[in-house]
Amino acid sequence: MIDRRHAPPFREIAHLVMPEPEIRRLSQGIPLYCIPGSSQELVKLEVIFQVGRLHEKQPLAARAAGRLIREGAAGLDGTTIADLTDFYGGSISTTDSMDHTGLALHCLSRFFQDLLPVLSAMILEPSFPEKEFQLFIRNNQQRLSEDLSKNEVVAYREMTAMVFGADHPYGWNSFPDTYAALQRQDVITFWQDHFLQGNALLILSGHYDDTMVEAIDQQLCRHLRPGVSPTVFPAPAPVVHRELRVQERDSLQNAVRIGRLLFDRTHPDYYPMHAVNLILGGYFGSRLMTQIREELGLTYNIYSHIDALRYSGYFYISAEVSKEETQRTLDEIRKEILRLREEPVGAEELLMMQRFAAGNLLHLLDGPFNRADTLKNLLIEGGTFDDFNQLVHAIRSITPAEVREMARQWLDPDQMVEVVIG
Amino acid sequence: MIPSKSIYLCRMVHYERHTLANGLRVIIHRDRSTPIAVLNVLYNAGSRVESPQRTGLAHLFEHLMFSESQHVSDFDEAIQHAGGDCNAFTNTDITNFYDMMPVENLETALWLESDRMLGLKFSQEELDIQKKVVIEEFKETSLDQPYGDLWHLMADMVYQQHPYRWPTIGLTPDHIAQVTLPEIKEFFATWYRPNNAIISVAGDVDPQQVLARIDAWFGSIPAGPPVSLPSLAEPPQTHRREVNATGKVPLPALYMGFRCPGRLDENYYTADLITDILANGPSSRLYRKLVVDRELFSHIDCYQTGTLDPGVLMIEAKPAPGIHLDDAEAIIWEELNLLASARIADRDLEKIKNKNEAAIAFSEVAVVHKAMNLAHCEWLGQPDLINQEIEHYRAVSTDQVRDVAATIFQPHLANVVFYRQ
Repeated sequence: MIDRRHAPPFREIAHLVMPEPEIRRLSQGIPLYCIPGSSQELVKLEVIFQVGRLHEKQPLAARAAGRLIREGAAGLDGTTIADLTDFYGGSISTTDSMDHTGLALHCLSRFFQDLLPVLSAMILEPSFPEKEFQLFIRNNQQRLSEDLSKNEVVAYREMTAMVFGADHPYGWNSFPDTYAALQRQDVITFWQDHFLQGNALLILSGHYDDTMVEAIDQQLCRHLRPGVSPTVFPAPAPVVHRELRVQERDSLQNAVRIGRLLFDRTHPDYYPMHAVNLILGGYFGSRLMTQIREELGLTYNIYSHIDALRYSGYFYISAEVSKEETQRTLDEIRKEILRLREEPVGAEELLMMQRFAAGNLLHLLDGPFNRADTLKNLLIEGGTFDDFNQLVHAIRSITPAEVREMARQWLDPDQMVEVVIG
Repeated sequence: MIPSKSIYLCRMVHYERHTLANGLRVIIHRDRSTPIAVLNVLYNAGSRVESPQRTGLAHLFEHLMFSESQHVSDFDEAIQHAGGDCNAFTNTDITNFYDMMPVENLETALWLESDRMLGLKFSQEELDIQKKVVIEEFKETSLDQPYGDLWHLMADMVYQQHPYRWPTIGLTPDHIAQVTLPEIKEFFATWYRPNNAIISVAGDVDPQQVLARIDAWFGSIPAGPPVSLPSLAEPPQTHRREVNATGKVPLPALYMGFRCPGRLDENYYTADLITDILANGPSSRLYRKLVVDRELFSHIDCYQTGTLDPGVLMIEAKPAPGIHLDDAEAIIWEELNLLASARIADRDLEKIKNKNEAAIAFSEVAVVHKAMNLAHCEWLGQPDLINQEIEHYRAVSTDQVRDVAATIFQPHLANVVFYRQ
């Protein structure tokens, strides 16, 4: 007989552990992280250079280098490269963030040896053709003007500039002029100075074999120029203005962003704050979503986030809300933050967050490609595979008293910047 | 220089099909490689079943399915307490719910999905809240987004009769605001019965055991009256339609929509490859020729909707500065006419097929996609399509590409939305 009145008994996830990946040291000591296993004959190779905004002499040079590297290499023009990659059903995508610039090759395992030379040529002998460079500038200027018409984009940009300072590497925003000021030589210089052996790490996942590892070593790692880029992290500027309201747009909703500076992953409160963020606004069952969407119907989406960077991090709340309900929503957000600082979280609510988070983290381990992505993000932020396990532990062991303590320490509404754009 | 390799992939998704006594169809797929088990519940109730006076109802109903049911006060809380996550989407054809659970707690998803199929506790208060939420969603996705009204304008031109003529979000927020509780109850009683649903389970489960549990939870839910989708023929288009959008946009843009084969039409796969030839990947025609080589556009894309009845093949394009929208359209027509008149090279078609095959293989890595796909194929009435799609794509010839392109891309069949500045 089934019992519809009560939930079926809960069972803990049997295995929620990121295993230590095998690291092979290739030529020049370059690490290759290996994550085997796939029921399909698919493989992915990520080549990551741990350089980004902190290393740019000219703004946007890192991003431009990453994106333009596919447009010509070793005597092959962009059309030929694109055609070859597509013919083998592969994709070579560029990935970049504040802290890294890289390339990812996805393909059927049997075509890896056909596509690796293309990938290696891009990294070792890119031509950065003038025509494609100009196209990159123009098309990105267009895309930017489109993005700047969106309230949520403007609100996010203003918030990060207020949190870090508008001139800080993590805080500045690009404008059409920023693109106009970039020269092709800046991109070439960035590549020459930073696509170095000492900045590189590789992650190979899926269905691969030793001959592929050997080929990666022979074709790519041996030829990377030696060296490592020095990194200087300037202190974020003190916050000058805490509030920005722009009401000049012909829109029905306001984009709301409320945030503050936090810390990088070496800080002792890094993991507990993830748990606190989940309770406040980090998932559908969070307080912000439950109260402001599900109880009051004020918004379609409201979340809080912790964005981790290699040398810093920040917390923010995001919502799109109708103009007439904006003040009420801001008041409700404040109420929820204060409640977290004043009352200890209830046992049931804490347990729900812990179980949800465990299930959610399980997805990050589901299959070699997800494990590789998770590892990649940890490594880019300066962590190791074991940080995953520490996060699991922190979430499972946090107490109501600690949640309140963390909220008191880090979530003072008066210490946050508040941006409303509409 | 390159040997023409065929990369036919040896892969099979094995599954079992069953039908419970109440008409509920069940598909079970065992995937031993994943710690996640997915329960997918597909209701044959997309926006096509709505009345023209109550557009947006199917999507609003999707939201209401997360409110209190017979024995469960809060669906989301219960899922999260079991370490699971869930979501749903509504389109013109179906409404689809899926629960991604640690395999240990799949039973909780069976409990929850069966309880809301058994019945909701319809309350005016919950209806009022979800109407507000959905109206905010309408504003966020359609009214405040640049080009957000595209589907309102396009669907209204491509279809004159068929219910695909309104977007799933609804024609206007007013329709959502006017929905009443009795309408909600009737919608549920008509469309949310087990005989109008398909469930699929994918994960490391024993098919025999999971079938027994499904029968225990769902088998006693009473069937509803038989329902069938009204057959709605759309008259052939006889002349070009175009409209100038009035909303403020950051850049001029051009959207060209053509009616294209429905999901079960023999030409569906050819049309799908046509969209890939035109705009999928860095070596696709429109991208390579018009964006990179000639620098006439900053953005170009092409896709089809893949609906059961004839869908929309859409080309979206943003011209480079200085290129007038009308000239931009003429330039695109040159490429469409070329595809419709000259056979593409064998190697180019081979390339697109290879790319397509790899994309299918990568999409099936995630167990949630397999669960959804199995339910969708069953809904189409061709459960084994999941294993046959690659062969369908492989079978397309260069002649067919030319001929189907010639059928689709005709001046009097075009529907064009201009966003001018």
